[in-house]
Amino acid sequence: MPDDALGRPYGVPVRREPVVPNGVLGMLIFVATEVMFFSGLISAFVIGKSNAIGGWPPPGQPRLPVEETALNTAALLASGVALYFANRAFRKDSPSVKPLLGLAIALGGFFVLFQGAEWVALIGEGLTLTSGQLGGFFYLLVGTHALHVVAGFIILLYTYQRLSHHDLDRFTFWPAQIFWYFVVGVWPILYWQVYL
Amino acid sequence: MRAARAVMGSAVLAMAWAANLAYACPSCASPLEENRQAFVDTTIFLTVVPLTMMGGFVWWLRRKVRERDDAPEIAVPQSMLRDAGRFSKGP
Amino acid sequence: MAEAGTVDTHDAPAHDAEHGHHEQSFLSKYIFSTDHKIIAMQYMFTGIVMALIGGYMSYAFRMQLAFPGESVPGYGVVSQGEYNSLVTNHGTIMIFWVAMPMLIAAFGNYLIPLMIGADDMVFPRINRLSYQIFLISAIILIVSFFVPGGGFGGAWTSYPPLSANAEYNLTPYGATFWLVAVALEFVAFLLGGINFITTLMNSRAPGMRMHDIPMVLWMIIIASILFMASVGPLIAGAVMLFMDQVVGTGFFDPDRGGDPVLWQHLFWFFGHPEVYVVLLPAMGIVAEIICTFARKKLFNYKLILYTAFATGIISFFVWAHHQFVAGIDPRMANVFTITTLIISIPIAEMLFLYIATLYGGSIRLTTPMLWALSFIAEFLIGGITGIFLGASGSDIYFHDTYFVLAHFHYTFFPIAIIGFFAGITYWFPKMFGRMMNDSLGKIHFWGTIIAFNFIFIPLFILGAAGQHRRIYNFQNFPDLAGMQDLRVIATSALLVMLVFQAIFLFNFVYSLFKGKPAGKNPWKANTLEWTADSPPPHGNWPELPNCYRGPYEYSVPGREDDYWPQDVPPDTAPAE
Repeated sequence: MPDDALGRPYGVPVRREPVVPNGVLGMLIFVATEVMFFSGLISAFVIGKSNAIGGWPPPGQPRLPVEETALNTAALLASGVALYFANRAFRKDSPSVKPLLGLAIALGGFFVLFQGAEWVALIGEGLTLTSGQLGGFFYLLVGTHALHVVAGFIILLYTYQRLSHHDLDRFTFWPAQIFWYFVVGVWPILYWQVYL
Repeated sequence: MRAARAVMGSAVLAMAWAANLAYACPSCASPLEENRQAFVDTTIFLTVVPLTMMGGFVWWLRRKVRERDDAPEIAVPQSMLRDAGRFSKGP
Repeated sequence: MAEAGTVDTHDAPAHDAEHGHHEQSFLSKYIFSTDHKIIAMQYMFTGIVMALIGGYMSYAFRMQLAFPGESVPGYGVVSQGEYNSLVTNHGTIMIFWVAMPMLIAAFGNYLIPLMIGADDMVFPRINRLSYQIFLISAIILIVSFFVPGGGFGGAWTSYPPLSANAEYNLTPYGATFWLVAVALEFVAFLLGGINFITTLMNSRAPGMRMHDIPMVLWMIIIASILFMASVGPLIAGAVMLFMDQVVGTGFFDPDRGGDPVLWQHLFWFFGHPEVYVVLLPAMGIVAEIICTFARKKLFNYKLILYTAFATGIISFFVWAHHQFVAGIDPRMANVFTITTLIISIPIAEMLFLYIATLYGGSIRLTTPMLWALSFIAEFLIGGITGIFLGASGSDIYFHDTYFVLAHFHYTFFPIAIIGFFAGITYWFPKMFGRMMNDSLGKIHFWGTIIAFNFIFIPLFILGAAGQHRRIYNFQNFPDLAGMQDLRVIATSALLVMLVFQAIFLFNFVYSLFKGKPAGKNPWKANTLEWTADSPPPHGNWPELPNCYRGPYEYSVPGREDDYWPQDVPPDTAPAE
């Protein structure tokens, strides 16, 4: 093809499909910001831990429920896996997408409820926001994550509702998944940092 | 000659790492070595995370663009162009 | 990204029929609009109002410094507490409510769709939400001046324990309002940034490749990416500080095992990239203007672009230079000294490339061009004085003196004020369809620039003499009391500069109604926004343009016109 004076081919250019759809790109950028937000929280926690005189966890504070939370962690990770398979089913238009998505949502709900119960027990033992650095950072980090789980739970419920009306498109489902994978993926890091 | 200069230069730069030997530093009174280390660690961590994310995204994007450009050119039907989900602008 | 053609999510004629031909009420057209141009105007006018408030504050506290204890006309006697609050909120307003909305949000919203040939942002409703949150944050900040105790007085960097404990800062409500306002402002720009990046990637005109994007858009996008990547830790810190203030946790309280330096760690992780967040859009605006008025191609487009990316990356390695005195690990101080000095290289390189663009051009000294040239000159002074502060040794002496203050005013004034004036005088014909008065513009320019230098050069001298920032009355310091003349010069120059802004406001309003009609392309520029009507209608073009070449094809040999707009197809189609 001949070129014009600037070395560009002649011809009317055509519109093409975006490489990354709008919603997905927007959600990816948002999640990147969230990752930085959690990085900030984790950094603060690392520095907070290093300031503790007498080691961490500080003596005389209630012990965090490591084993129970391991179970809960498994539930959340399973929820992420269920969502992954739900997406595969969705792309193949298979009918199993609905139970799989339902399972992912149910496991997410279980995680929130279980954590709520854990908090009630810890508050009963005297671990509160103002009881010391351990309590402050624990509720700050885990509480922020819990808010994100609730937000992701609501988004997944919304996709489920759209799915029931046979109205779900991949431009809605894909960003919702990205957010949920982020919520699931950041938890093991928090668990490792805060509980272990 | 040049190599010698490079070695000298690197040696001078390397001495920067031993700056805490100089007692003129304002933070040397800190009793907590862990705290100092924690600041160094989180500084590295906070710097590496965003750059990794950006780099990873650019790499992923390049791969997707290559895939698209390698695929045979097909006309995109108008119906597909309009379908960008409920939250994007469109009809 | 070899090829840039993308999909618009709907076809243009249908869109025009949908939006173009029915009357909207005033509220839905100007207040709750999703149109990117209206949102840009909202950001700009809010920014101008906030700039006037911030300027008024600087007037009040500069008068106190020049004439301590005397009643300031139009304000009254400035008390110690009020002085702190004025200084704090002047800084906060000028950075977060003036520089960011005017440079990034206003010009970003206005220019991105117009320059890439799109009819709007990809998420118009998120865009509207972004402005609404921003407006709420501005209102909260203004309300904070009137709550019991007055506005927050702990400096714009808000270091704990001063900011965390009402016993120290004496502004129990002001501090919390301030923090909430700043946090909301970040959320607003987060939403805006998502929109900017997505729009630029996905809505470009057919044929617009990566290297056909006007430089100002690249700069705004890089700034948005920097902002998104750096703001998270500060939001985390803000949440913690908020809990310290309101709930009573002790994250930053050393008495209870907390760490006050932690706040600085999180704050400056955002705070320094923030400098480049506002610098890069101003650099981009200047690039557009010098190309148009030198009638020359931007010198080495790709190198400028890569330099801007390099600046963005390096800006993540420099932030700890704000903490040399606060007590960071000296090994880290060394590393950060080196990186801080390194970052001056790409910035200097960009300035050189701009000067190379000017070289041999047929320069037309219009008002926007004067502003653009003064940006290069004044920012250079700001950049060079930064070298002294980046070196950890000399910083120990200069830390928190007026030298630092003069240094960052020499960077932020060119960025926020000169950058804004350059942009507004350049795009005013497109925004409002009329030309601004050039003579008034030049009077305003010279009055502002000369007065500006007379404000801050004396402050360099005072700072080098050891005068510290944020002090109510220097008469209490025998060593410094004798230099009162310099303070009076600075304050007088400030008064002159503020008076000259009235000329700008007059020119703005006058030209809005009585200016010469501009036509589509008054400057004979190439970029796509000049192919739309002035002002562009809703939807921008009846039919969205295609793009055939880069944005800076000025004075191409062998062409009759000395400009070649991006949307004009090549002259002759080849005979096959």
